[in-house]
Amino acid sequence: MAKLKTAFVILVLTLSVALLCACAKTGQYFIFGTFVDIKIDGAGGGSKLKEVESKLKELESRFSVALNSSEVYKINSAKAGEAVAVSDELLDILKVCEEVYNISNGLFDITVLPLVELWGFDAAFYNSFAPETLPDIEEIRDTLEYVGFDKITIDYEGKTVVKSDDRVKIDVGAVAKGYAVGAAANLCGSLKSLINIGGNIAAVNGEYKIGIASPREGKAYFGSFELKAGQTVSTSGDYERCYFKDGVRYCHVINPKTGLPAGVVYDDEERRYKNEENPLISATVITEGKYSYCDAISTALLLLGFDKGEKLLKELGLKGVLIKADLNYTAVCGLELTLK
Amino acid sequence: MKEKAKNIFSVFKWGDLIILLILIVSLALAIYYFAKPQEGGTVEIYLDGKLYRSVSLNQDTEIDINGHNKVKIEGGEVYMLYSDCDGGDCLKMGKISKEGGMIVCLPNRVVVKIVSGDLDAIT
Repeated sequence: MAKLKTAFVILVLTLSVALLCACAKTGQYFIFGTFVDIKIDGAGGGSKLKEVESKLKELESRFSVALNSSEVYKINSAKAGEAVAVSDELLDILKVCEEVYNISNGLFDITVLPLVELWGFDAAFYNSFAPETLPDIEEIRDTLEYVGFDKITIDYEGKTVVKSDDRVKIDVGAVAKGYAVGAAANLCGSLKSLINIGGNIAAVNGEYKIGIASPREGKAYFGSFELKAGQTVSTSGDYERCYFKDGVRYCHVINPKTGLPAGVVYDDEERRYKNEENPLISATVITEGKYSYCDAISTALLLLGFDKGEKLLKELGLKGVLIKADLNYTAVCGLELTLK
Repeated sequence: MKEKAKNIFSVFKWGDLIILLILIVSLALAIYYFAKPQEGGTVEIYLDGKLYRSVSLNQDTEIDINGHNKVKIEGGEVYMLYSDCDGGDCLKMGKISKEGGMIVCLPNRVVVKIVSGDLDAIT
């Protein structure tokens, strides 16, 4: 009888230990200037988490605009005509940037950095501080001269990037987070995991309930949907990294053609900036894998606006949700959205 | 039937059963409180990437983070009440109340965010 009792105690202890090991391992970091949240289920999750963290830090050091050791920094500080050697990973990203630049008729453009800086959204910007003065429209028009994806030449075989103007600067921020999500998802292999890098989310070997952030006050979140295994989602909105000045909202996504933030227009008569009437304020897109592409498309959609954005989603056959300032929305390509 | 009951008591003493009962009840309570989605969300405070405190958004309170930062939860809103960081950017970030909302103090490596009870993540 004593043996039976011992066996029972051992069984309970073993089950408890097994239960603890099977618990999800989570990691929260601050990388890419945003919050990174990773959840990995199953045995080996802890060591996998460390692998993912170091991979993300490596990618950040490679793609950062601010770190003077990064590849992007080297391109930005290079002279016109100088061939800058780049890694395969940056080339992968540049390829996606070129593809989405073409798809969006030039609205998705990584050479927009000089304008982003002009509007005060530099790497140190986090949220809500309006600069003392807004950039002058003439200054913006002058800057537009050296903005354009056609001002960089990418040699995919020779693995170099050449600029046609000293002042050209790139920022791969609108696609690097998506790329990093993909790199993390690949590292997770067969483990069930959820990767979230500042709202760029990947579901690996499992299904997760994802909420779309409420773009305006009022609701806890706008709506939710199921992100299936292998899918990734990305959202761009005018409510993130933005500031207000004299009642006008300025967000960090800058239109490379007008030089103005998404949803902002310049009134030539009144000589001031205004918010567009009922602009697109949130664009969500879901893709099967293609993590960097997903990230870039969401930015392109925000710049395209509601009607053109909806058309593009349908043409590409991608599921997505577009929300206008009056909170009217459309869910495209059969996405089942449950409103909050 | 009586024979079977006698068998159980010959293996376990009353004390064993009481301990077992206490264990089962505490486990059930723990599962209930951890798994229960909280109405209105939960405020999570991270220090150096690790969860420092997790508090219901409905619970009005002040949380001190190692004397460097102080977070205030009041009326379903969260804001940074005090920070000894340079610049005090986190103090200017205002109040957050929605799921997915976040306040960051980069110098002190503090992140405050509101997580939902019924969602896995917010995009």
